Amino acid sequence: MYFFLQITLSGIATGAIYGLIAVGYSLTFMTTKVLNFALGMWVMLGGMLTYSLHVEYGLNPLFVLPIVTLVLFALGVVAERFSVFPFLRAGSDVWVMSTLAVGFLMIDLAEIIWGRNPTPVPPFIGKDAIYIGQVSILPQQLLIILVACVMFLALDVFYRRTLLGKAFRAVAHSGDVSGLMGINTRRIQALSYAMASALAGIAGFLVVPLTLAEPQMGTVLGLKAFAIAIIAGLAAPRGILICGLMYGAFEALVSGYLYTGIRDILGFSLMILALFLKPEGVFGRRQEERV
Amino acid sequence: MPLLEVQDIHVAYGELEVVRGVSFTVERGEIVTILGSNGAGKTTTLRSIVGLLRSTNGDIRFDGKSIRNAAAHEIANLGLALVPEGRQLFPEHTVRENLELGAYRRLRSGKRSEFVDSLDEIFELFPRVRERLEQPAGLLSGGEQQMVAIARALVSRPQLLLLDEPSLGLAPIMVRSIFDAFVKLKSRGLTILLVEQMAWLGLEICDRAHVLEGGTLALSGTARELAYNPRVIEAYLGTAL
Ligand SMILES: Nc1ncnc2c1ncn2[C@@H]1O[C@H](COP(=O)(O)OP(=O)(O)O)[C@@H](O)[C@H]1O
Ligand SMILES: [Mg+2]
Repeated sequence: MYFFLQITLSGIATGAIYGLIAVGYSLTFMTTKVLNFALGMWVMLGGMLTYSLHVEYGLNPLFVLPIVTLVLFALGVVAERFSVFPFLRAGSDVWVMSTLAVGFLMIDLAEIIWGRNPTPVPPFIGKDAIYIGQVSILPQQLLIILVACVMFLALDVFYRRTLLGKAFRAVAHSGDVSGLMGINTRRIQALSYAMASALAGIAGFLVVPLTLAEPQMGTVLGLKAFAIAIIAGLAAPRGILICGLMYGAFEALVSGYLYTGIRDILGFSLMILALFLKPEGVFGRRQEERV
Repeated sequence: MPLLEVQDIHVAYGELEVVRGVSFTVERGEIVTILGSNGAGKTTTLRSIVGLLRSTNGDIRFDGKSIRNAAAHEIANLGLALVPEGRQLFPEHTVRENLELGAYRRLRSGKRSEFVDSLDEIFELFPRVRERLEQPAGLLSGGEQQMVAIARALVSRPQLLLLDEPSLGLAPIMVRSIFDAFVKLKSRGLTILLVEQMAWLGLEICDRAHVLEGGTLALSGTARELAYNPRVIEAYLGTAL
């Protein structure tokens, strides 16, 4: 039992990261049906920036976080403007390629700037595990779970309570009708892309002490988060957190009790199965039109 | 100067031109109706006025200013509000949220009290909207949805209200109360451009009307002239009476 709880808990911490990245896919999908397929590379960029600011320049993580968030947000605006918007405007699907191209470019640049060697980043708050009975958790893992939950709560409040959030949901339903309301749908497209980039950056900031800082650190994270977004439903941000946490626990249990090699096979099979059984996602609802 | 001036617009879907040289004007304070059967190009005309479609020729002027190349949200913010065909509410937003989105520009500039005032005006016009305020708009009946759709356009305090077949699919009693509301709105000085397939409904409340056939205006005149025009009677009023 102790072993089970221990594994589940650390799995949940990883799952919180997955959830945070996964909700980024949903942000852009809901407003424009666009997916930034390279979101994992944006996670990497957040992680590498954190490494530079925190390890190389010795900046306090409390300052690193807002800097990483703002830089990634700004880069998100630029990337959307030049790699997504031109194709959207022309009504083409080439953004699928161009988002990936930007991601590979980011990996190449990261290798030039930081090199390929994985470098450890010390945890932000204490190295010693916290014990709850016999079960232990690293302060960094606790921080991840906490921040992820706060981000999701904030996102929920944004969607449900703020005018801009309501406009996001309106654009998700119909860009044309939103335009009739005086909503600048173009601005909301760009904003959602930048917000997704910033979220990925925050995920990178949080996760880099657990992984190592290296240009490939985000690639697999991004793919798994994508699977989770698909399983939960791209239009169901609330479900994505739950799904992320469950997926993290599931993965940890599989590698704990079975073996690590089949972990990802099971995970991605689950995604394909979910696509077959419920294309709109476990938490997604089919769009129904009432006349 | 007319409030709205549509000059020789042409609109195509791909190769197929479905609006072919339509021109008309709407003066301040009047109700103008565009009649026409299914597929005549009424919706296409309205959508190109509000910036959801582009005219390849001619010009569209609102208050003297060309809006032909303006984006839909810019046109909305100038004071044109379209109640689209089939109502097109945001079904998962509550009625209140739909109305907030209708007043998007004013709420963004912090004018919440103006919004509250216009809600009161709406409740006076459509008392049933008040009872439905916190419900998802998709759960309302067709008539209630149409009231909310009109309310959503009105809370933006438009100068020109455009309506695309507001009677479509509604029970006669509901149609009655909605058209009564248009007359009330006109008496308060609102300018209305109404698109209707039900010719007698449109002619009853309008000042001037145009008949759209195959993408061009076949007939134009005052409401009275058209109501007694043999061609209109035969093609649009005859079957209904
Ligand atoms: N999105 C579209 N793509 C192609 N053709 C369309 C589209 N919308 C309308 N049409 C065609 O354009 C013509 C005019 O349509 P519309 O403006 O909706 O007419 P109305 O509103 O008078 O019924 C019709 O022949 C219709 O089939
Ligand atoms: Mg129509």
